[in-house]
Amino acid sequence: MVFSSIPFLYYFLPIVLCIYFIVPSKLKNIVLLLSSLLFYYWGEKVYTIVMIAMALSGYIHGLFIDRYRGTKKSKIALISSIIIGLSGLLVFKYADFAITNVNSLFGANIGLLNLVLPIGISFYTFQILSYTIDLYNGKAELQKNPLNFMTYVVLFPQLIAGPIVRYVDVQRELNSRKHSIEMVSYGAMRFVIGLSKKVLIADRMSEFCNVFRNQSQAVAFNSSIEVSVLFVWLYAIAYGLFIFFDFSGYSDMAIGLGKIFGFNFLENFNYPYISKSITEFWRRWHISLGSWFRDYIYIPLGGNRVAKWKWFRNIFVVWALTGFWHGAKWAFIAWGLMFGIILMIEKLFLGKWLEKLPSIFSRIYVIFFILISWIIFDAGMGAGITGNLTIAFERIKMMLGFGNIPFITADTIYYLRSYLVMFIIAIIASTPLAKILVNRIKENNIGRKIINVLTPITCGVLLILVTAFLVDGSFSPFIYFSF
Amino acid sequence: MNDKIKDISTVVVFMVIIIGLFIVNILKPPTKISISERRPLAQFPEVTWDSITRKKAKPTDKDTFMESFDKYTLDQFVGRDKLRELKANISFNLLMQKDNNKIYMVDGQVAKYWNNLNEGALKSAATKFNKIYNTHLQNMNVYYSIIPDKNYYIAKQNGYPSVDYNKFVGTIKANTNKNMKYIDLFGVLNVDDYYATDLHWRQEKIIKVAEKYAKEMGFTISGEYTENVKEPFYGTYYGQSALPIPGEKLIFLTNDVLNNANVRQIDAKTFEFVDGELYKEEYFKNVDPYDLFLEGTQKPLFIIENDNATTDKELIVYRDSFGSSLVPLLVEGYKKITVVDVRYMNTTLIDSNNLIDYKDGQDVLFLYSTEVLNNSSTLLVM
Repeated sequence: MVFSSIPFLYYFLPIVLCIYFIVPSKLKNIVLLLSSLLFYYWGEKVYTIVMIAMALSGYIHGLFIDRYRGTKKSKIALISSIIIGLSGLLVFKYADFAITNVNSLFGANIGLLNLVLPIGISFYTFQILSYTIDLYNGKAELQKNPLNFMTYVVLFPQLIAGPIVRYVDVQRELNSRKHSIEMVSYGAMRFVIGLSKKVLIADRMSEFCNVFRNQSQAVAFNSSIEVSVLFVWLYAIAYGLFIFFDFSGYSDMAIGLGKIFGFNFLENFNYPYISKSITEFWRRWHISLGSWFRDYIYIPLGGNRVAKWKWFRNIFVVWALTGFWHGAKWAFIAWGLMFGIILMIEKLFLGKWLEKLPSIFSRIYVIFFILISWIIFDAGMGAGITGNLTIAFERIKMMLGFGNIPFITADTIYYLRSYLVMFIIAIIASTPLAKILVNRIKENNIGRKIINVLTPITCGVLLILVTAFLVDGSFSPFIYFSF
Repeated sequence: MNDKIKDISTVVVFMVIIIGLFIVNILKPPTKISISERRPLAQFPEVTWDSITRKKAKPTDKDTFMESFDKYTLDQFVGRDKLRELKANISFNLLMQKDNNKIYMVDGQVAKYWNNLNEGALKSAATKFNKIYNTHLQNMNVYYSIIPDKNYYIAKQNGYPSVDYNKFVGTIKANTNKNMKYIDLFGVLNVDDYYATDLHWRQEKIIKVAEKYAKEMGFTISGEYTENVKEPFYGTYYGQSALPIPGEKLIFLTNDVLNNANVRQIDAKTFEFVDGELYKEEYFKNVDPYDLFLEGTQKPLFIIENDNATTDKELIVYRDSFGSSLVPLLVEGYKKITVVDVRYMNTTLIDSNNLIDYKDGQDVLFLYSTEVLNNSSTLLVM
């Protein structure tokens, strides 16, 4: 089930909310657990068992790690939990990639597993690992109650597309949490804002990208449709806006729902497109993933407190893995390594230069490389182990004026005019401008009262608008499900 | 308003909307048909063990309960038409989008733009015409026409994406057997000859098309008809636009010749001929009111006999839905017209059951719209 669907909004959520707030506190986790399992089962059927098995594995390993704390057995339990956790990912996500590569490299003929990737497996695997690793390191407390642990793993607000919630961040709330009208109000508004980002902005940008893809596909079939340099740029911008509003919208919804149910999830995005360096971008984009790799891979490898070549090796490993985490395609690995290389260059010298540059230039630099990266990322959605890398390079060539296509065409003008307002709204909404404005207004008493009046009205209007857009068309799933 | 009241108000608004609409949706009796979209609406799906446990292996498999329920909730949502209207209004007026799901409006005409000219499909269409020609029509007078969609008259002129119609016609002509004569309709029609809310042409406006055929193919028609009005007519684009557009008049033309014509059609299951009608008035109430003409879609073959014809000429028309309203206007000029839609019965079945009586000297007309030609895989020429 997806948040931006009528069954979730107007059937699942009202029923769960009613039951959740009616039952006594000791039953609330069971309500969340059962509703989360139904939420997952709605779309995944048999893989629900895989998820339960993985969660049970994490729970049992936790018991062993804690029971044999200080002995080798504890370490063995930790290693076992990591191996079992990662084996799920390896089998479902990476096996066919490995087999295909072996087949093509050595001319072998090993049969593919052809398994469908269980939704959210990358997210819940990392969450389970954060528990066992932190428990072993003494950062997390043992969860003795299997139902509470299961609730942590399958909690529907963040189950299938993050943010990656670490056990330590919610361990107290799992056992006992408070609910308040302030939290429910904040959560509801945050949820509606996230929903609006997804349905009103991301899906419109996705529409634009689809127009472009259809255009460029039609060109390949010798159709009369024309693409242009400007169209490729607009596609790259639209895709960048789409992926931001799609994913950050989902994170907002997850954080909002978490608040309604009494959980405080950490922020996952912080206006990444205003960054002045790629290093800063990755501190603002998918924060929960970046910090996971930092804490569980980069720092254990030695981080930056090692010889320079080891430091760069660590960066290389982390970014190859970051790309690979997004999907078993060479396009994703290329995407991750591209960032790895840029980050190394920034650490070597570019970072200092960027600091001295007027911010307009450093921001243009960031946006340029991010747009290039999204074209490669989009290629990762293509078939085969490479994805559509060739198409991605073709598009980058076209963007840079080497594609033997006109700069602008009548079709480009049409789509630009048709989506211009949407582009302007999306670009403004991707900056903290509205937040700054609201905070300024709230600084005086009258302004605060005006915002207080507008908040519930905005909540209602956005919810009705989202419903109108959902009812009009078929829903489009969140892109981060496939990771 | 203080913070506390703001929080309470926000929670109340949120809960009232999601819980309120949940209750209203549960209580609302399901609607069977969407008049505005001209389609049956999804009903509450059957709950079976299989439907709730099965995973859909491929897109063509039967929907699971969950998928059917998703469709049911979308189709049956309370105030659906008003919500779609709201979305369309926001797209057009607030977001200043030039179209809503490719639907656009110019001077009261609603149209759906398209710009993906499929050259392969056009060549394939021509190849299919040639195949029929080579198999059956070599000693006949064979003509063909392309019916322009209304975008030809308004899309490019108003800045909307459009196909290159010269290339479209050129591709068909270049690949069609030269013994078949092309009759141009692009210069005969104009945008007012189409329904404002539908893709089809208006029968009362295409007498000039029939007259053009009469001139080019050598027959005569009186051109005098009685106008019969049905209203309100809401075309395909009315529902797709989701905008409050007034209904139109559907006019169908009759005269003594048409009233006395003998119409038969093939039963696609038994391959027996049964009675048919040029105008099935009760079909105006169908999901698609255009079904009134020649009994609507999925009717593969009609034979229309006119005992009052002044000649013994016979005509075979290979056609799509546009032909349904044009063919009655040709009846005066022929003793017998065979009307074939090869989208609903393939040529192998037609030939093996000898459903068409081919004779030397007959007239033959291939009459297809741009949309069908650009998707010519639907033409089942084997």
